[in-house]
Amino acid sequence: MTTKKSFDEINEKIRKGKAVVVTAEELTGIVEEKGISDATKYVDVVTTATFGPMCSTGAFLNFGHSDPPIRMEKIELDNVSAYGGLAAVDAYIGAAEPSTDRGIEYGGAHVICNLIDGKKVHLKAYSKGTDCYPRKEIDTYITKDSINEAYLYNPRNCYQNYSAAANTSDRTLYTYMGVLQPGLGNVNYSTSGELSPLLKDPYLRTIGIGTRIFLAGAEGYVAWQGTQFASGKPRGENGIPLSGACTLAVIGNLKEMSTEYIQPAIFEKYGVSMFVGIGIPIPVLDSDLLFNLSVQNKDIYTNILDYSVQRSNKPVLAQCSYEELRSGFVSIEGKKVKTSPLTSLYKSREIARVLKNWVAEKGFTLQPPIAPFPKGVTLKSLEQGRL
Amino acid sequence: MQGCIHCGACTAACTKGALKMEPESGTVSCDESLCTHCNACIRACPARALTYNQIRRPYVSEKRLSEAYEGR
Ligand code: SF4
Ligand code: SF4
Repeated sequence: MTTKKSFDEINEKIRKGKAVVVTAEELTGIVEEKGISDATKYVDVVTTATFGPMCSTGAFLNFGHSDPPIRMEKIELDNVSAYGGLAAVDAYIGAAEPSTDRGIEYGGAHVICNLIDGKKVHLKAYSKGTDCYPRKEIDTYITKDSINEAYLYNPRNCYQNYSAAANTSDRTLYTYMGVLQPGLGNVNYSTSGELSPLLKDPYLRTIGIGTRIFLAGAEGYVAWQGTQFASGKPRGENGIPLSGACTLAVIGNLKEMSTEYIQPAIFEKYGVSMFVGIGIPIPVLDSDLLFNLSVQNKDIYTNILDYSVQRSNKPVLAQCSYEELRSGFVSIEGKKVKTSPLTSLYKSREIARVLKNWVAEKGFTLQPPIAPFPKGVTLKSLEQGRL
Repeated sequence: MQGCIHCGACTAACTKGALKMEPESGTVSCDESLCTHCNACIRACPARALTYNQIRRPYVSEKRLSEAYEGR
């Protein structure tokens, strides 16, 4: 008889402290020992995680009203520009924004992490002044406790898969995929492979709007599909896309986060970014899902793209598995090329373990999607000068 | 190892094969015999965790990035 479990049944077990919760890496051994069918009966929840650079990260802040009040139009936090085209004292600070005084050495990502750490941040805001908001300037300090709301809202995180990067040109390239040595000197890759959330539920059966997640050390939620969401990308036989496909927009209370799980990143000659820790618990609803959850690095493939071609569609140099990428070397056209990760496996594992503890010991129940994500979505590109 | 987030970007930047990251522990180590003190790894570290010790070898700073940006 095939096993089927519902969210409700699994949540009941979580509430009673009886759910069997394992990380995606631990699941591999269980499936080898018990087989798919028995492992489906035995395991209730599998935790997945990633900790990698995600530029599309930022925070909404509400500073509270001063007396007399100001309608903030130009806003700077530690000399990093925040977007003020919202209501009077609302702002959005993007992680990738550099500061006006220190450039990429200090940017929006640093401001966000300083706020999380409870440190003082310098706020300067300007306005033309109105009858209802007469103040024209304010220069003060804020902390996460002195302001009203502070929540992270990341429009695109948690890529389902991501192509690895290499460089066939004769000059070093400095990219958001790290330093790429000339003449196929190295391959850099992202995603945590078999631990990565969207690779483990490739058709997003259990992940949708409202899914409760681990976000930077706090409880967070999936708010929407991420930008550049492309569920229609070609997939391998195991359902896994070979390049960036689905993404998530995520939201969570910045005031409860920890900089153990979110960190600024500075990429040489590129800019500021943010390492964001995300963990997603996936319920074992049936054996099809358990099969997806048990897929290993050797069966997860990605393309290696040539970043020396300055086009949005970069040529594919080779295809390889995450097992090969993790081994430290891949072979491209007969050449042995060194590989380096950009996603921290160490941190991803830690997050998967912390989330396992939340679900198994702390009653972190699973929220079924309030609405599913669209299927078959393809990406549009921006055409120059055409209507 | 406090400043290091174990991302591996330094190993990508080193053309001499001097830096290795232990995949399980995430520990970064430098083979002095291969290091040419070119600084590339230090510049490439997104967490600004690498610095030089007295014998001119890159090592992971005890100073956390958060401390580095604290003293604005
Ligand atoms: S300083 Fe040494 S370890 Fe760092 S990149 Fe240069 S050769 Fe490699
Ligand atoms: S030393 Fe820096 S670049 Fe190297 S693994 Fe640690 S954080 Fe990444």
